[in-house]
Amino acid sequence: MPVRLLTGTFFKLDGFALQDFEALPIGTVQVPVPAYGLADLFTGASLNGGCALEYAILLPRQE
Amino acid sequence: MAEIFNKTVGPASPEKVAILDIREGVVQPFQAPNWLDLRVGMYLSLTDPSNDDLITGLTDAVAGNPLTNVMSKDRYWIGIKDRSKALPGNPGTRFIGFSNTFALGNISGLTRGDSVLTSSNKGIAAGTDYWWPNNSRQQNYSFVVTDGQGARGFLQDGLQQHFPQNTTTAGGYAVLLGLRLQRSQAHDRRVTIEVFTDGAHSADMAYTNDPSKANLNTALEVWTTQVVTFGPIEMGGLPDALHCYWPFRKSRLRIHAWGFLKAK
Repeated sequence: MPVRLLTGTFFKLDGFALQDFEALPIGTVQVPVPAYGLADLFTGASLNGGCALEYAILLPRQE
Repeated sequence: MAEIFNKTVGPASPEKVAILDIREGVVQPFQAPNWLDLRVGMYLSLTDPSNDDLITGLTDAVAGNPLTNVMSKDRYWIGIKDRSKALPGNPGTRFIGFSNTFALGNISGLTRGDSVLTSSNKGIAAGTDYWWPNNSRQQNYSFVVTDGQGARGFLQDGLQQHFPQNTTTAGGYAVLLGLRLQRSQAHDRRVTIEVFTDGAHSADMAYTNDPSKANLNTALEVWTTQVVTFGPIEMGGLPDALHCYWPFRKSRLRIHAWGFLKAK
């Protein structure tokens, strides 16, 4: 469990799960799940302390 | 279909950005075991329907009549929800976050007012520096807590969101939106919610040209005391997924980074 120094006080952090998209290839997200017509958006997440981001689900376009 | 765009304009370039297709939503479930203090943040921006990096000319209206009523799919939703594939407002869903839905009584089916994307001065008036999603029947609808078909909380002013149209004036191309959830013990379904307010109309926490994971982490660690507080609110269950849905057809929502910090 990390302890960080923030603005003069000790701040105890349990965990985090943050995502940017730097690990992903440029272009259309192409991981379809045919049974649902959806797609997974891979998580390039940074994880810590038992926290996690699961696979994202793209919802079908709403007409 | 969503895409990953390599944004090459800006001090942090190149930066990869997820762009949701028009009227396409995303649900990303998360695990934060036994959290007591959970802080959620998102760096977001808008772009043109076909140009991946054009932030002008996005004015739009869904229905375009303040006296009309529209469905959940015609509202915007930015926040956290249950991990189902249904949009907030539907039976069994739970949502905490930003929306222009009418939030009194039963919110299933049609809700009052339209959805418009207005050029704004970052307040509630006209301007050319920001894009402001709102409901022209009641322009201040901007934050809501829903539990199934019912509203558990909402605010009429102070938590509106403004996406950069002029990045120089805004101070960056991405806006930071966030919220903090606290509860007294793990598995408690009563939650207190904090959302930053600028003291006037806006929930925009910051603007940046470097919307990185590292900066998001720092912003969530520091948090803020300048907040609107809701609750404690008891819900049937608490949201466990990040969620964005953008209803407009003349713009797309870009996600630069998002996630959460379990501070306790």
